Order: sequence, then C-alpha cells, then structure tokens
Amino acid sequence: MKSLKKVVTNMLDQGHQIVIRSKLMAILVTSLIILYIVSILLLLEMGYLPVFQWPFLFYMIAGAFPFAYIITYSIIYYERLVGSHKWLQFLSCLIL
Amino acid sequence: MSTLIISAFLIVAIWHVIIINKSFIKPLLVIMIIYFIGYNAIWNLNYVALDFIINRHLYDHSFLKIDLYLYSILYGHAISRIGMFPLVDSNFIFSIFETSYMLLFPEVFVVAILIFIRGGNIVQYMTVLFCCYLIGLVIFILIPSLGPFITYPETFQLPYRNTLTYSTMRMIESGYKAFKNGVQFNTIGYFVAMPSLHVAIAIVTQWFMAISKPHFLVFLPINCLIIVSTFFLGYHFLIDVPSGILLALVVIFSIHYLGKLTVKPPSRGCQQASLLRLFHKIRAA
Repeated sequence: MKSLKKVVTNMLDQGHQIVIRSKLMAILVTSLIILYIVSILLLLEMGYLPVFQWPFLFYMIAGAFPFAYIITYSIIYYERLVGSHKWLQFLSCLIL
Repeated sequence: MSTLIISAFLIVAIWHVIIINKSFIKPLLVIMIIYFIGYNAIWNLNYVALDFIINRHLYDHSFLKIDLYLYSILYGHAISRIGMFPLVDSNFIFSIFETSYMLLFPEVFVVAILIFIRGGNIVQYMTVLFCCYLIGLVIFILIPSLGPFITYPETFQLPYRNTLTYSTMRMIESGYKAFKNGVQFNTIGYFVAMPSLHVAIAIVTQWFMAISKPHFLVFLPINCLIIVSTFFLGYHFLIDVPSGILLALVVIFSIHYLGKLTVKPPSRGCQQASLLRLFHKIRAA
C-alpha cells in the first residue's frame, strides 16, 4: 500500500512538472519571438533590412543539425555495442 | 565537397528519424525553429548593440597589451603583435583547433537532441543558452571590444590566410565594416569579444551533457580544445576566456536556482489538477 502511494505521488509530481515545463517552454518561445520582432523593428528603424543573413543561418542549422544527430546516435550505438565506456576518447578523435 | 558531406549527413539523419524515431519529428522541428528564431534575434541585436558602441572607446588596445605581456612571459622574450596568431606555427595543431572551434555549432544541437532522448530539462538548457548570449551583449555594450581579428587584422599570420578560420574572421569583419559604413550587411552578426561566448557555450553544453556519461566523456576533450582555440586562433583576447567561464557559471547556477524555485513540490489540490490535465492530454494524443 505504501509503495503504491509512493508510485501515485511520483506520477502526480511528474504530471505537475510536465505542466510547469510546458508552460515555461511557452514563455521561453514567446519571449524569443518578442525579442526577434523587437530586434527587427530596431534594425528597420536604423535603415537595415534584417533578412540577408537568413540563408546563412539556415545553411548553418541545416548543416549542423544532421551532423549533431548522427554524432549523438553514434555515441549511443557505440556504447551499446561495446557495453562500456572504454575507448570513448577514440570517438572524440574521430569527430575532430 | 562540404555540400556533398552535409547532404549525405542530412539524408542519413532524415532516414534514421523516419525509420526509427518517428515520434522525434515534431520535437526536432520545434528545436530547429527555436534555434532559428533565437539566433536570428541574437544576430540582429548584435547589430543594434554595435550602433551603441560604434563611436565609443574600444578596450581592444588595453586587452592586447595584457596579452602581449602575458605571451612574452610565456615565450620568454618580447613578441610583436604582427603575425602573433596562431600561437604555435604548426599546420596539424592549427587544423585540430580550427575543427574544434567549428564543432561548437553542432554541439549546441547535440545537447538538445540528447535531452530529448534521455529526458532532461530542455527549457532550462535553452534559457541558459540564450541568457548567456543576452548577458554577453549587455557586457559588450558596457565594455566594448571586438577581438584581435577585427581591430588588428595584422595579428594573423600570412601562411594561414587560406584557411576556414581566416575566411570566417574576414566574413565577420565585413559585417562590421558594412555596418560602420552604413551599407546593408549580409553575414553573421556576432561581434562580442568579451566575454567569449564560445567559451561560455562550451561550458554550458558540457554541463548539460552530464545527463549522459558517454557523451560527457566524448565531448570533454573537445570542449577543452574549443576553449583553448578561442585565443590560440586569434578570435579572442586571453581575458575573454575567464570572463566567458564566469558568465557561464553565473548563468547556469542562477537558472538552476530559479528553476528550483519554480518547480516546487505540488500541493494536494494542485496535484489532482495536474493529473487531470495530464489524463486529458494522454486521451487527446
């Protein structure tokens, strides 16, 4: 009975934290969007058009994201395959 | 060649997401959009900050003097600022530092993906990341310095001027010059020398990688190299490194403390309400 109570309390805690985190995520995204709009307005007022760096940023994200995804999963698969943390620095050298 | 490699990585990553991680498509897209908006805002704000400091006294001269003094102690003789970067004349060492410096960009995404896989706090990570950039901008307005590669381009050695590092430096410099001359800019907008955000973000990513031991161990030497590469390649002055470390630690601990304040243990009534909302979410899904 005690352990069941513990499980339920844990579940409630997790549920509560999920709600709080999704709220915080919404606050973070909203603040970033507001910041972005304000920065665009400021640059427009200064006489600049802040769109010419978009292709560069898009290229940076499109280039870095798949690489990051592959690195993340390679390390996970390597750990599963080897079964320990031996020779992990070999992966650092490989990435470099 | 690099476009070919990037395309190959893109195809493999898309294949892996579609075949194995279908549930990841939505969060990954959300992360990409947040990064796009966040970095765009930071770059735009850099140009706005540049407007504040454009006719003000820059601290680059004082920082360079400190550097020259410290390097002369290190080398055992007085050194000239002309051609002082990279600090060691070796193509092999240069290429390792160059690669590690560039690795910070994918590393920022590695942590975000890792948090989704291992169940960390993505909001805390993103908040720390963008707070570092914003506080860095405020410090830049208060103590403006652009870095040796913009203020003293002659500090970079001639034989290394056909490298990715040098072209990146010139690209950032062209953005600065375009803004200074009132011409439309079209490059990266990042001019903060002190504190070094490369150092700060390396510390932040290393901190958040603690949720996965293998990733932490793999990226530990890489992050150490990133920190050294900032002053080794000539992007930053020496003083930018400790200030970057300090900035990262202050932001990490502040957000961690604030997070603890925000996520309090729920009361009984609150627990029931949150469970009900969770139940409805699961039903809706």
